Amino acid sequence: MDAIWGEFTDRDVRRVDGVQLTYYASYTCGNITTADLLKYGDGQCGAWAKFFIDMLKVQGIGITNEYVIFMPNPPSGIPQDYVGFVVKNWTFVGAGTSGHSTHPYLNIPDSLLVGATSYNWKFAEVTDAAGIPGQGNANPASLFNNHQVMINGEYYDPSYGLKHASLQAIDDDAIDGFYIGPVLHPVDEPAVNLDLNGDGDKTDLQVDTPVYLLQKNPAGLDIFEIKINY
Amino acid sequence: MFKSFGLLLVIAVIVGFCRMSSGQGIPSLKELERTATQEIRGANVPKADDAKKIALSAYAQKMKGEVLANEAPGSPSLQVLGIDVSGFGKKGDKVWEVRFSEMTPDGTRTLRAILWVHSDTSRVHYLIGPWQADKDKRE
Repeated sequence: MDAIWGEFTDRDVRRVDGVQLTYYASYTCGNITTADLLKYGDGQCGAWAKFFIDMLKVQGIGITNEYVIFMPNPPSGIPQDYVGFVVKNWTFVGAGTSGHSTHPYLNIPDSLLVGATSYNWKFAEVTDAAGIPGQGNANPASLFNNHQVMINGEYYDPSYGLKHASLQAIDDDAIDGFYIGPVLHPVDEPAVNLDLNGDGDKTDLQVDTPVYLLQKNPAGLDIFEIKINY
Repeated sequence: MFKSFGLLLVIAVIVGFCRMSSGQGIPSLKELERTATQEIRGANVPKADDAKKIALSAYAQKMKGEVLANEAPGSPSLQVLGIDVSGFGKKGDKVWEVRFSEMTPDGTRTLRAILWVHSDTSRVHYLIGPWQADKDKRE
């Protein structure tokens, strides 16, 4: 198992024809199976987790309940599908101006939030920066509802070629912050220097605007996991 | 009569405009925070959060892990069955309906699957989801 894992840790995994396989070369990549990762060369975390497990299986190594999906614990009242996390590194500017008690940082998404290799914001107090490199990609996508890895005593995260000793270690080592969004939230136009309601000025106050509210990763365990048998 | 019709038309236009300008499909944070947490006392699956985790495990297993990184279950809603569902429950039983959605590149969410979780037996009924599309392709 260590020998197979060793093929993932340098983040240079190649197909038999020499093509390097990548983790989110395109941020809009939707490939989540081993077959699609091999066919298209690019995959989400789910594709990489399954690929690693499939490589173990073909060597006769079978582990039960080894497939892990983890998600943030949502704040009270917020549905699971309106929360997520950002993977290191993201830059938080100042103390945040959203006015929200737990998620003080304000980002206003552009009409196309997820671009090919970037996140697009009209206004942002939290921005993506180079951080933990992924397979064949120095700065992969990093804003998710969940992440998927493999467990066998330790957590194996083939998307990044990294191991973690515990769920708490993943929380501490990989996650920079948590978001709520997109939700409508009152924003003052002068504070963001934008014409949010399209009336031709930037003077209106408390304009309901689609936003993402963010917080820095607090201490403690902020994620939960489920395990299934792949 | 025409005055009443005109007034209704004006109200309809205003309501329509307000809906469009407030970001169609995106809820306000206050609306979400005001959402009452439902609970069924004495049930085997009394809380929405319990139903969410049961549904998430069942869905991920059904999909053999084929869950998108920007996919998640929404808030389970409490429903009462109006029909008998073979192998799952009877008319009058309380079930949690859990909807899974995916975040699209424009930040909005689209529906991918609907599951029911029985509040007494914890059984899961798979209504619709990507597994059905795969089955349809094969047939």
